[in-house]
Amino acid sequence: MLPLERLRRIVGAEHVLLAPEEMFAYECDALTWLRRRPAAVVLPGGTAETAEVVAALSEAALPFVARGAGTGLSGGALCPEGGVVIETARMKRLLSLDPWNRFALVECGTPNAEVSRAAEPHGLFFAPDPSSQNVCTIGGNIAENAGGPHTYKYGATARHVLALTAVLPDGRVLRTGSPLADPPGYDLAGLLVGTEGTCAIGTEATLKLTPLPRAVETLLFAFRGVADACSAVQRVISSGLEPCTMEVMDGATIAAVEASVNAAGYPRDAGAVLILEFDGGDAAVAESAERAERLCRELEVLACERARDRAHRLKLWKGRKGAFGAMGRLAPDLLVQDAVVPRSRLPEVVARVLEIGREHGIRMSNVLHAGDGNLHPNISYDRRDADETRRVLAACAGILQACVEAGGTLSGEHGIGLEKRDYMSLVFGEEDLERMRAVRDVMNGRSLLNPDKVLPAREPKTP
Amino acid sequence: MIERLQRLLGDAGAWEVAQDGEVARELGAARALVAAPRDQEQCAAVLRVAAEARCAVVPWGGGQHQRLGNVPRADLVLVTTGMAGIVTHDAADQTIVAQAGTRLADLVAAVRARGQFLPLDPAGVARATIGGVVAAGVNGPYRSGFGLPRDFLLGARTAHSDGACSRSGGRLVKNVTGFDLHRLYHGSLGTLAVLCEVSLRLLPLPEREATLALGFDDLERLDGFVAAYRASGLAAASYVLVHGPLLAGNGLAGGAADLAQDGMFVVLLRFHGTERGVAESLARTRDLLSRGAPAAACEAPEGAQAPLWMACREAFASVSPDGGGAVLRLSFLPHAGERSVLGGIVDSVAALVAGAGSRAALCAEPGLGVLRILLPEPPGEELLQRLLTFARREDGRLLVVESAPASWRLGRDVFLGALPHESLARALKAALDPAGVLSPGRLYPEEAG
Repeated sequence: MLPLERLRRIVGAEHVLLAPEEMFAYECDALTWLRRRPAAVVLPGGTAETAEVVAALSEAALPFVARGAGTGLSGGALCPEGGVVIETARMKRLLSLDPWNRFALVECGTPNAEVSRAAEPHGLFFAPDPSSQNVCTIGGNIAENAGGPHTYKYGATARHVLALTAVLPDGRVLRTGSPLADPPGYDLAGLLVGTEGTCAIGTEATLKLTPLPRAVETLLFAFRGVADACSAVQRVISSGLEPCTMEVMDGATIAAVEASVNAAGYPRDAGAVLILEFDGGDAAVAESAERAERLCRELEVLACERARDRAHRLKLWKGRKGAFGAMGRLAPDLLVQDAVVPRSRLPEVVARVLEIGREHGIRMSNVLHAGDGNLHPNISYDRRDADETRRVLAACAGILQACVEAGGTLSGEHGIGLEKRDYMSLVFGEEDLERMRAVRDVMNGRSLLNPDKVLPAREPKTP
Repeated sequence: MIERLQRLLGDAGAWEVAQDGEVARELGAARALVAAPRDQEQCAAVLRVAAEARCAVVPWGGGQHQRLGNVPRADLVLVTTGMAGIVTHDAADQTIVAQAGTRLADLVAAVRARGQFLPLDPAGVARATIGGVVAAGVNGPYRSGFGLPRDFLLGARTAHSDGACSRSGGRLVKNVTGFDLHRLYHGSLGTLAVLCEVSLRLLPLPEREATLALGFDDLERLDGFVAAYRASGLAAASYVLVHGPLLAGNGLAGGAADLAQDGMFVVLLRFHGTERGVAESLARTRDLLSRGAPAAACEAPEGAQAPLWMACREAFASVSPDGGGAVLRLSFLPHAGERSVLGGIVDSVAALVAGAGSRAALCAEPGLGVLRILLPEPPGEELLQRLLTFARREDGRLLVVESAPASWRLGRDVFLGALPHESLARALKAALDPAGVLSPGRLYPEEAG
């Protein structure tokens, strides 16, 4: 039974939500076709309150899940039926920022972009930059090991977490890692990043801050098709140049963007655009941009733009940053799929993905973190249309299968969550999964925290 | 035992080691068996046999980092060099998969031959294996610019003490499918699983590389430079501080030979990049010198760069060639406000060492806040206590014994009480090493019974 009075005492009555109309917003995350209604939502005000809330739920043997901004795309923040959502929205204090030692200590409900905003006056930034960075939280980024366009150069969240305070599912508080180099013992912070909230609830994180580059050069190339854009990416990688990001959008994405408020002036007749960016010292960046431009122009380029200044750069990025929003206009629901392949296999895999879309008669547009081999086929649909939803899910299965067959895997940055849990056996064997379960069970032995996510249940033993 | 292992691996796959050999010296074990599996399956089979016999197993690559951690119980040394070779090097994809027993030097050379770069240069690189370097979680002078092996590690195949083989991650540069157990194995010093294969991401080989050496005979000026460098936001591929004499005879000819003098602290900066990029970094660094003027400054000539960095790398060493020395590591937050604390720490540590009648060479990674104290023999109790008192006097400092002869480490805790989360760590070990036979005692002491 819900220990209502105890929860109210811990966090204050106004921070325990129960009304059915309030539960509606917590039925799903940004993957809208999977839905479950929680019994209650609790908003603790910090590590200590989170630990008390977790202890209360654990004693009551009620399942619970942590939730940041709910921008996750794999159903990872879905609450078990009748369970409790612990929302981190009240935990968004920036506790300290040490610009000289280059780290910030923040509460895990802090939105990603807030960290960079606080660091900017000191010439620093927080490198992971998921598309939802204005709202998505640091805790969610840590749970998912979130990436973003600049992951190509700077790496995903795991590289940028120095220390973590987390509440274990029995209410104990774990403080692990350090801003000091090489703390002894197991890298528990490193282990917890990417476990999708199935092992512990992060409450405070010490994040590494990176110096803002002195110079940035942004180039946009338009091509006839995605295959040409991916060839350009391959040429740039092979040449030894080191861009900080390489983003590709297909023709369907361009059309959606140009018809939206985020119109960036991309050539409407192009089958693909590539955004290439270099950052670093002035001379190095200028030299790299010149070379990249020469390399790409050896291919059949429909148009090429090089940002003249900051305003121009923001304009080139505007379409990319607004791509997901623009697609939201096409249909009531948007499914942002996520898969990775070896980057050299992108051209053939993208062709296959487009073919799968056509086979299932679905509306698809593609955004690619091409430098990382990371595909985002975006499917616009209406989840109230059962037939369309069925075709969408069948296409997703086909896409994942095709990526795995090309040497790829199920997710580059969105996580497995509930959406892809049952595809895990495409990639991992039972012995592989058994080690992961063993580690999860050390932390979350009673499976009260975010049960049934990421790892499929053990196969029943055959006699 | 040896018969069972030989049945698994062939007669040449298992043997008993000499009592006066390297294994005995590094592990302080009077007597040990050695098994050399050739693949992951054999490796798992060896572990199963050892587990049944309650035999403690120590994974051994090139034997270059066995001095990290406490002395483990060792009945069986599992040599990984029989599992050697590159599995796939996908140059277009800038990734490589190699068996764990592959020599790091071979890997670095193979990658370089195809215009790519693996920024790992730990001490003992000539003999160290990639698996050993990942298990130890160490890097050399490239650490300051590129991070640890963890930052390049994409996945691993491992063998476990219940005889199972498993895998995490893959060979994709971006991947969040499943738990990244390879990040847990990184730096776990062979206590959780035996690494059999690792996959790594690579970088393009830099077009140009340049090394700047700045000699400081005044620690205040050194701090002035360190603070100015930090404020500049410059990002070198390597950024270290070494005691001058450690560099003697390593290509420091002519006026630069002054750098190797006693009392001189030399900042070595290595820049990677395009032609213009490197020239720009050198020029900007020179501009900083007005704020922290060195006594001597020179750019290392082309042929002198490699020997200089080799000297520097070995000076970092958790390895000491004659086997008698010790390395203590002090981690600290490098800046108090905009001020660099490095000079003050170097000064205090040098005084403590001298006060105890010892001598030490010092080297540091100023950007990371790491100072290594290289002692020709293990520290006496008095020196150790003084250094520990100094380290604990302020928050944000940490002292451990990074390397010392087994004879000295036996019965001690080289982490000096700094190992955290004992019960959770023990539970993780029990989950991944269910038989409890992998390097027992290397981190936490073995529990009685």
